[in-house]
Amino acid sequence: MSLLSRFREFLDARREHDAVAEEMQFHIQREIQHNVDAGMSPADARRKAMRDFGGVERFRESARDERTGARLAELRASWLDWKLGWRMLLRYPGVSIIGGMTLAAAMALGAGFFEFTWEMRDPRLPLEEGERIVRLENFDVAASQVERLSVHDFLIWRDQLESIEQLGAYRPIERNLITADGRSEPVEVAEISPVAFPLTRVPPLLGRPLVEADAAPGADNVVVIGYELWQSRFNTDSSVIGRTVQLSRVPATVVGVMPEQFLFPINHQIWTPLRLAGTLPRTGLPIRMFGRLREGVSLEAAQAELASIGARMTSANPATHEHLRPRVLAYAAPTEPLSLMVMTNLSIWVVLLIAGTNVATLMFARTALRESEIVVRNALGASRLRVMGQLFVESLVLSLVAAAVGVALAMGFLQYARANFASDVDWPFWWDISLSLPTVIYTGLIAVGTAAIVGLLPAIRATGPRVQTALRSIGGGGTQMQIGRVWSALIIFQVALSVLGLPIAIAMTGEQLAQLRMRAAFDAEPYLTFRPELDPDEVPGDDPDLPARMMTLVGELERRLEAEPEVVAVTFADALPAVDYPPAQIEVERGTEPPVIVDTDLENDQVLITAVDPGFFEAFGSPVTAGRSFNSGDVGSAHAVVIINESLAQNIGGHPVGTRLRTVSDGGEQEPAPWLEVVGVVRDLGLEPTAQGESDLMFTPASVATLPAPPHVVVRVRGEAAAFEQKLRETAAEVSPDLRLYDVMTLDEVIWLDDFGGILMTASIVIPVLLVLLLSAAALFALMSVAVARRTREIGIRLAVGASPRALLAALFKRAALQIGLGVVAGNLLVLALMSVIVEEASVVPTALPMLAASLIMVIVGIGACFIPARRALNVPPTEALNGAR
Amino acid sequence: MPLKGDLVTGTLDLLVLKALQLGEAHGWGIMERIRATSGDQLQVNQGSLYPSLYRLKRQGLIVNHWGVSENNRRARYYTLTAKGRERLGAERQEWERLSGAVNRVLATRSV
Repeated sequence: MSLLSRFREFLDARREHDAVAEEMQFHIQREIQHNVDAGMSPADARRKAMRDFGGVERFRESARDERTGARLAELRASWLDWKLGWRMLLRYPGVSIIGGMTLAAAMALGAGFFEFTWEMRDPRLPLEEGERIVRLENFDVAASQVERLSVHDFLIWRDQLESIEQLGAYRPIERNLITADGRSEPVEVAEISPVAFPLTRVPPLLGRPLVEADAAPGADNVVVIGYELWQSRFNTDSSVIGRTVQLSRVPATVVGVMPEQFLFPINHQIWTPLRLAGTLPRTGLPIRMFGRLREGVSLEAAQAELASIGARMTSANPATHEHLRPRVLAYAAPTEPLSLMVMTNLSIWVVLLIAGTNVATLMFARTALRESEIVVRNALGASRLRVMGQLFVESLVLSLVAAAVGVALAMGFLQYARANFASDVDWPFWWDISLSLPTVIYTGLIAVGTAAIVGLLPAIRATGPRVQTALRSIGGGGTQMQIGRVWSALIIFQVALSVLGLPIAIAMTGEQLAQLRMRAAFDAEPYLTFRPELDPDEVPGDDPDLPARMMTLVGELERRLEAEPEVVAVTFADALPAVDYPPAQIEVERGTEPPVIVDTDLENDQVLITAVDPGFFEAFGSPVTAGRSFNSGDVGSAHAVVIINESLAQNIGGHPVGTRLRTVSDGGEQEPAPWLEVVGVVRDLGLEPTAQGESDLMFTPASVATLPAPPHVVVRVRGEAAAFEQKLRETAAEVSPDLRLYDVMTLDEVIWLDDFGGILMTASIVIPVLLVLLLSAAALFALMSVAVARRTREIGIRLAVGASPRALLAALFKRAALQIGLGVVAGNLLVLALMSVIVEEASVVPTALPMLAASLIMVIVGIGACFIPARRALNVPPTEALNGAR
Repeated sequence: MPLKGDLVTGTLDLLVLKALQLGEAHGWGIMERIRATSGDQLQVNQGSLYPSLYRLKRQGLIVNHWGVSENNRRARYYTLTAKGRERLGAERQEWERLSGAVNRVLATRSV
């Protein structure tokens, strides 16, 4: 149909609509006059005419059904349907809120995943002819990984490859950026071939990009900086060009500033020239390679050429190249296979389906309460399709509102992710996860699909052949609709799921709250923590001197910090208190008896183990309550010693100082660890709570050199720790320009981050459980409402002839009670079954209370849900019931 | 002949066509005409009348035009078409056949 004829049809429809309105007005006016002529007062005449006519809108509707003959047109939603749908949302707020929340949660999940997978599916480089930019890799098929030591091959490819131009390489490194103001902060530097700048075709904002001469041996050290860095470290000062900065130990001159959108190769803000010298195969610097497909050359042709060069190199260097397969890929190639993404999105459809079916139950109840309206519409000439169309539009209003809320939620979450992680160097600059049009369309389609489930299922049942029967009984005041077996099963299943989930949710919430309360008592304010790292020597690979250098530099830093007047103490450990202590079982020696495993408060009788600096306890103000603290002689001593906390001391029992203990390997198959003597007991810090109090902790003595990784250093200051950060960085830069400080945070922040993770984890369990509980309650409410609606007349008559309300209530509750009961029993059986699978020694005693509590909550919620409709039934005036009016 | 499910609708259409055979009329007028000619026995519901009018119009059995009513207001008048007249004849024969058959059944004396 052409646009013009469509427009004409629209105009015709509009004109006809106005004509019908006028015709109806005329009819009513004529009727009023007729009534007045018959002797009525004008007011009465009008009232009677309006009553006889029965609503202009409703009438106009059924009249329109007759005018538009096509059957399909019967499905066409009118403005009235949308208005009615919106009114329904407001009239049944319970259904709207519970159903809307459920759908919104499911749709948020769907929209978020879709946006993400859509972006990952076919990422585009936001660069001129970005689709022709490629990356090259030497894939080692034997090790199944990319060989980064490819300088040798890169130089040959650069000479020989015809199909790829502007071939370059880069190496990501971390350096301290030290500016004239003395600030020293670690940055991610891209050591990169100058060809990257003409390759991306992005001109600099100020100065010049890197050029080939910069990469020549002996050239002056230069650096190009990114927009964000220019803002944050140079105050957007345009005289920055020519200024000298220091990258760890190396001074370099700023020659250019790149515009905001330039973040090549991944998400970089600072670029220095990559200097490559010829090396033997598979030695030298680890590099990543890129280039641009020559005009008119396809990716496949480039791949074929590279493969043939690769084959020649393999025959020249069989020892090193036997397993290497060079390959060319689109620069922003998807990281996950498409099938996986489709599967993820499909699995979310299942969640949507479950949510939709649930909401359908509620809609069914809503529909049942309005059955008389549907029957009347049907009798007025609206066809089944027409009524179904109306019910569909009503659901569509709900699901569209839910979709809007869901999309907003998903975008809020993605925004949060972007704000917190998008500046990370691992977040490629071509990932744009802001709301995209395909996501909006996708969510819209999902909303229509959901509306089909939510609205059409009840509509099909409500408008079935029984409508004729219903028409006859409509005057009698009762609906014919019933909750079917499938929905009954769904209700039982959900009640069971609530009973299953509630104890877990209660336990998790309890633990989380206890942890928050306990940690709040710890005064973490004066502690500033960080993790030092050192630039390795230019020789790639392991730097054997690194631990010794680290020991010297951290020692020096410690000495200088302690000399500062605001510093109380400096200490370190392999992990921060409250975060990631590795657990293990320990056994204790008792006289001549075989050693026994210590029974602790943690799962599987584990204790947490951490290696600490001898001054650790003093720095944390954690007094030794028995025995002694560590001294420097304990570190690396042949006579291995440990200190335990009070919780562990209690669990070991007796006087633990002097006893020997050791860690137990999993399954006890390996050689047991050496014995360790307990030399002291320290007060619990109160940062690792369990249900029974503090976790059991065991401390071993350590120095920076004995730790396998850089230590976590803790500085205790007088007053606020955050204010000390600037001084800390300056001192570190004085100690050595290549001593980089990461994760500089107050202990408060560290603890909050850990708590926040716990809260998210708890919420991810508690929210779905609450939602399921709410849905069960809503479904029971719906079930009861329908039952009451069906029997309103019967109840009224029975009450009129003197039946006891209690007996009536019991009869009404019977079915709901049966479903609650079945669900509670099934839920408890599920709990027991799961327990026996997860926990080896399934004992009912510790779980009996939460199970009982969960069952009780469910019964109360279930009965509560039935209460309102039941009360409505008992309040039916007998006269009304007999008259059939409702 | 078995009774059809849409007997009521069909009967109303027949009554409307007949009312219009007597001359053009607006909706309210048709309603009144049926009431009066049936001796107040048939009260046509407005909710059925207009759907019936639009149906007949769609089938090309009647047409409408705007005119001025007896109380000087703009009203939509309906007129029978040639096709409508033809249909009225057929429907009328059908009705007589049907009602005659029903009457014969009802007049049967019990044995």
